[in-house]
Amino acid sequence: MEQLSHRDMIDLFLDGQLPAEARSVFFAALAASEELQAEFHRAVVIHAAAHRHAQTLQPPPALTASILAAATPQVPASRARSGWLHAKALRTIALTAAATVIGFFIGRLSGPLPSTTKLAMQSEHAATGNAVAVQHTTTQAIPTSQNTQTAHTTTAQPKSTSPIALGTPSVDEDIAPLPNDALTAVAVMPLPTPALPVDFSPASPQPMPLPVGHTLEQHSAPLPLPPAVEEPEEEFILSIRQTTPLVLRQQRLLSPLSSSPLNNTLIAAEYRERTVSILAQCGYEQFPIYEVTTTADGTPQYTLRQLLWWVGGGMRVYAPRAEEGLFRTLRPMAGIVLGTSQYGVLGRAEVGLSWEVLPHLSVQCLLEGMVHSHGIGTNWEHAEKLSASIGLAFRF
Amino acid sequence: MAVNYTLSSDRELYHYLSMPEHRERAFEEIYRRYGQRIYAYCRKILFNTQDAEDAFQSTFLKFLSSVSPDREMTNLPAYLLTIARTTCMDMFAQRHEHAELVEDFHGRPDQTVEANEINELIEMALHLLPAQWREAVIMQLYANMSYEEIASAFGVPVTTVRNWLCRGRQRLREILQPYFEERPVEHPE
Repeated sequence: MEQLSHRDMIDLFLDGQLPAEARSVFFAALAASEELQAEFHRAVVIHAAAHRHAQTLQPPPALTASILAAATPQVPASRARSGWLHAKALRTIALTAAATVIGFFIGRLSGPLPSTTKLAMQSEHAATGNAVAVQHTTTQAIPTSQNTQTAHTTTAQPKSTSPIALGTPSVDEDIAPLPNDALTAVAVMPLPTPALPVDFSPASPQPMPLPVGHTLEQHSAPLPLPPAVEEPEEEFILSIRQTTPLVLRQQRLLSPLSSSPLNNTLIAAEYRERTVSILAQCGYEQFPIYEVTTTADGTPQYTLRQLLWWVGGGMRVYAPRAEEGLFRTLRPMAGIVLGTSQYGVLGRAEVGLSWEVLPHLSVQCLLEGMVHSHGIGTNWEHAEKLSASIGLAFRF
Repeated sequence: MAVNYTLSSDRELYHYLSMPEHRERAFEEIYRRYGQRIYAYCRKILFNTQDAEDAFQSTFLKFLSSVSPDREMTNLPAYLLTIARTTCMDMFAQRHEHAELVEDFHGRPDQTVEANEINELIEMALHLLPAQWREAVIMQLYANMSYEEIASAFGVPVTTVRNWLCRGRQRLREILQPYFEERPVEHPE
C-alpha cells in the first residue's frame, strides 16, 4: 500500500475509502494537530455544502417529461397524425353538414317566407283582385293573351316554356299546391282564357315568343334585392366547435389522440346584445400538462398528461351587420376567455368569422391562442398553443 | 408476470430497454436513479443552465438510442456519466466558456445567504482547478459517483481517480482557506 499523507487521509476518510488499519493513525494525527483539525473542518464544510447544493439541482419538470416521453411507445408519426387529421376533418364536415340540414329545415318551418314569395304577395295585395294583374306584375314580357301561367315563377314552373306549351291551359296539373301559403291559391288558379277580355297590346305591342328551352325566370324582370335583415336586439347563442392545434411549443410532447369524438371539443353559451356578448365556455382539448405526484419516499414524479378539460368565461365583440354585400351575413368577431382547468389557469384569445347562413344558424370559424399555466412546487410551468376551430352556433 | 422495476438491477433495467413492453418503465426507473446526479454534473461542468439542460437531455436521448440487446451493461452510472461527459465536452467546445460564467453564481433564492456564498466560492474555486481534477471532484461531490464509476467514465485506474480527487479537494481547500479564516469554522448541520 502506498504511503498516504494525513491530508489525503482526510478526503479518503470522508469518502469512506480509508482502510481500517490507517484510521487509528489518522485519528491520532487529527488529535495531535490543530492545523489538521482546521483542515478537516474545512473539508467537512465543503463536502456538506456541495452535497446540499447538489440536492437542489433538480431537472425541471418540463425537461423530465420531455426526456421520459422519448421512451414512450409511439405510433409512426406521419401515419398516425394523418389518420387522426382525416378522421377529425371528416367528423367536422359531417357534423357541419348534418347540423346545416337540420337547421335548414328548422328555419324553413319556423322562419320567414322566402323573399321572392313576399314580393309576389305584395304584388297580389297591390293588385285589384284580378289574377291577371298578378301575372302581369311578375311576367312582364309574356304575352297575356296566350299565357295561362301564374305569376309565382319560383314556386311553380311550367314543364315546357315553348309558345305552344304556354298556350295550353294545363297548369293546374303541373303545379303542386303549397299548403299553408297564401300564394297557393294564386299559384294554382287556372286563368279562364276565353273570359279574358283584357288587351295589353298597347303596353306590349310585339309579343315575343320565348325560344325553346328557355324558362320564364330567364325572361322575367330583375327582382329588387330583399330587404336587409334587421339586427336583433338580443340573442342567445349556443355553439359547439372542433379545434385543431396549429402551433404548439410543446408539440414534441404530444402523442396521437384516440378517436373519441369529444377530443378537442369546445362548447359555448353566449348572450349577445347587438354587437357585444358575454359567454361561458368549456373545452376538452389536447394539451401537454405535467402532473406532479410524490412517491412514498418523497421523490417527485412527473407524468405527462395529454388532455385537459377547462371552463371559463369571457366576452366577444362582433362587427356590426352590413346592410348589403358579403358582410351582411359574414361577421368578423373577436373575444377573450379566462378560465381554469383541473391543473391550472388559462387565458384564450380568439378571432374569426361567424357566417349567419340561416336565421337561426351560424357557422363559426375561429383562430385561437391559448396559454395555460400550472404550478409545480414553487415553479410555474406554462404551455401555449395556436389552434383553429370550426363549428356551429344556434341562435335563439 | 409483473416486473418490479424498482427492485431490478441496473443490468436488468438495461436489458428491459430492448423490450418494447418494458422500455418505458425501465427508462423511467433509470432516470429516477441517475437523472438528478447526471443533471447536477451537467450543471456544474457547464456554466450555462440552458446548455446544461440541453446536455442533460442529449445524454439520455443518446443513451436511449444507443441501447443494444447485445451489450452487457456492467456499470450503468459510469456509462451515463461517460455519455454526459462527452456531450458536455462537445458543448463546451462549441461555447465560449467564460462568456456566461456568472449565471450559476447567483445561487438559489430558497437558500440562505451564507449557503449561497459558500456555494459560489466553491464554484469559483472549482474552475481554478486543472480540468481533470475539477471533473473528478464535480463527479464525486455533486454527482455522488464512486471512485470506480469515475474511473470507468475516464477510462483510468481507480488509483488515478483517487489521486485526482485528493489533490483536487486539497487544492480547493487551499483556495478557500482565506474565506474560512475570515469566519470561525462551524460544523455543518
